[in-house]
Amino acid sequence: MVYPISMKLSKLCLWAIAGTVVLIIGTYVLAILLPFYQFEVRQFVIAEIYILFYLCAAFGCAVALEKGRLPRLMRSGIAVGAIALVGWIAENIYNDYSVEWVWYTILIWPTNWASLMMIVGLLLLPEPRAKWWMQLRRITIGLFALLAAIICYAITFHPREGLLALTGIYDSEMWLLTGGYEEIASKLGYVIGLLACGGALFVWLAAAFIKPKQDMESIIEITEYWLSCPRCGLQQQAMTGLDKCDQCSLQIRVQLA
Amino acid sequence: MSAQPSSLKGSFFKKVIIAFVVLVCITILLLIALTLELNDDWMEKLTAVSAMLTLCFGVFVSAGAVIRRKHIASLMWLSCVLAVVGTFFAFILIWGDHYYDAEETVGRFTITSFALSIALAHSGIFSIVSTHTRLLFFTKLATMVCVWLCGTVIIVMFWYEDLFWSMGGIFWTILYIASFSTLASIVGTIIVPIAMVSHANKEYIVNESISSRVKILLECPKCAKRQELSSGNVRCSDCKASIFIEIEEPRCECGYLLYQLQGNNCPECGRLVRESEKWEPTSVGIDLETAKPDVE
Repeated sequence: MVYPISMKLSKLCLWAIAGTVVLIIGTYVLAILLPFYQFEVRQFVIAEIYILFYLCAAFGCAVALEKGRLPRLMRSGIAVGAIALVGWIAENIYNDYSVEWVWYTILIWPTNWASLMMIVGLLLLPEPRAKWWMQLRRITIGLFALLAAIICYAITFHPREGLLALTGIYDSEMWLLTGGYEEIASKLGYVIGLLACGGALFVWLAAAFIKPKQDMESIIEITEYWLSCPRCGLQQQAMTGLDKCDQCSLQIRVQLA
Repeated sequence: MSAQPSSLKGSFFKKVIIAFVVLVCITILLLIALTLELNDDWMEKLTAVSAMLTLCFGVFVSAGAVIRRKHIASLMWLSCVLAVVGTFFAFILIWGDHYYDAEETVGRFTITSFALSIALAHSGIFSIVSTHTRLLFFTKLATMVCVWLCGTVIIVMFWYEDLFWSMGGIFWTILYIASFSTLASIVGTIIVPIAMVSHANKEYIVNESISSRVKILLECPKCAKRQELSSGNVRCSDCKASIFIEIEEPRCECGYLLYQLQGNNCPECGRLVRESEKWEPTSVGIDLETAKPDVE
C-alpha cells in the first residue's frame, strides 16, 4: 500500500495551527496575569505569530501538494518557509537594530518564495473553468510573482540600508536618492499588489460560482488518446476530460490547457 | 427579487455578482489613481464611496449564496439590510460636510451596521461549510466566535470610547483580546475554506490502492507522443503542450474505497453507492488482496 506523507500533511498543519493559536492565547493570559514579564511575553507572541504565518503558508502548500498541483514547487515552499521561520525567530531573539536590515535582506527571499508558493498553490486548486478564467489565473500568478520580485529587489538593493550599503558602495548622493527609491518601490508594489489581489478575488469568486462542468465542453477539445491504466495496467483508448478505466473504473481526468 | 423572502432568483443573484465585480474593478482603478497622485478631494470621496459600495455588495454576494441554499435566510436578509444602512451612513459621512456636529454619532452607526452585517454574512457563509472532522468543526466554530468577538469589541470601543481610555489596565486587556480575535478571524477565514477540500476534512485517512502521484503512461492528446507523466499540471516532453492530469478513485462520502465493491451499499456506513461510481465486476486478473481498502 502506498501511503505518501503528503496525505497527512494538511491535517498535521491544521492541528499545528490550532495548537499555536492555543499557545498564543496562553501567552496572552500570561501577559495579563504577569505584567512584569511583558517584554519577554511580547517576544514570545511575535515568535508564535511567525509560526502561525508559516503554518498557514505550509498548509496552503500541503493542500496543493495533496491535489497534485506543482508538487516540487509546493515542497520547496514548505521547506524554504521553514528556513525563513528559523531566521525570523533568530532575528527576534537577537533583536539587534544595527544589523536589522541584514536580516531583512537575507530573510525576505525565502519568505517571499514560501508565500508565493502558497498563493500559486491556492490559485491552482480549482479545476479549470472557462478559457478567460484560465488566462486570468495565469495573469494573476504572474502579478504575484512580479510583486514578490519587487519586494525582494526593493529590500535587497535599498540604497541606504541594503546590499549596496553593505558592500561599501555608499555615498550621500545615494542617500539623497533614497526618498525617491522608496516612493517608487512602494507605489509600484502597491499598484501591482492591488491588481494581483483583485485578480485572485475574481479567480476564486468565479471558481465558487461557475460550475466546472458547465463550461468544460466549450473549452476542452475532446480528443482520443491512448493510456495504460496506472492501477490495473490495461492499455486502452480514452477521451480527454473525465474518463474511467474500462477494467478497474479508476477515474482519470486528462485535459489540454 | 422573489416575493418570498427565503428565495432568490438566479438571474438577480448573477446581476448582484456582476455588480460586485464591476465595483471591485472601479475601486481598484480609483485606488491606483490615488496611489499615482492623480487625486483631488473629489477623487478621494469617490474612492471612499466606491469602497463602501464594494463592501456592501460583498455582503450581498455572501448573504445571497447562503439564501440560495435556503439556509438562515431571515438572518441573511437582515445582514443585507444592515449593509445598506451602513452604506447610507457612510455616504452621509463622506459627502455631508454640513452634518459635522453629528459626525461622531453617524460614524458610530456606520461602524455598528457594517460590523454586524459582515459578522452575520461571515457566519452565514461558514454555516454552509460542511465539516467531517471535529478539528475542522471546532476551527470553524472558533473562527465564527472570533469574528463576533472582534465585531463586538469594535462596536463597544466606538460607542464607549471615553470610558475605555479611563479604564487603564483593562483597556489593554480588551485591546489584546481585540487584536487576538482579529488575527484569529483572518487566519480562520483563510484556512477553513481551504481545509474543506483537503484531507483535513476527512474523518478517516483511507489508504489508496495507488499513489495519488503515480506516473501514468499515456499518449499526449495533442502530438500522440507516448510518455510517462505525473498527475497535476505537466508538459508534454515533445510538443510542450500543457496537460492537466488528475486521478481519482471512486469513494463513498465516508471515504470508503469503492474499488471492487460488489453491491449497492457502502459496507462502512451503509450509504447507497451512486450508479456512476459503482465498480463494474467485468475485470479479470486483479489481485483482490492488494485492492482491499484499509482504514486508519
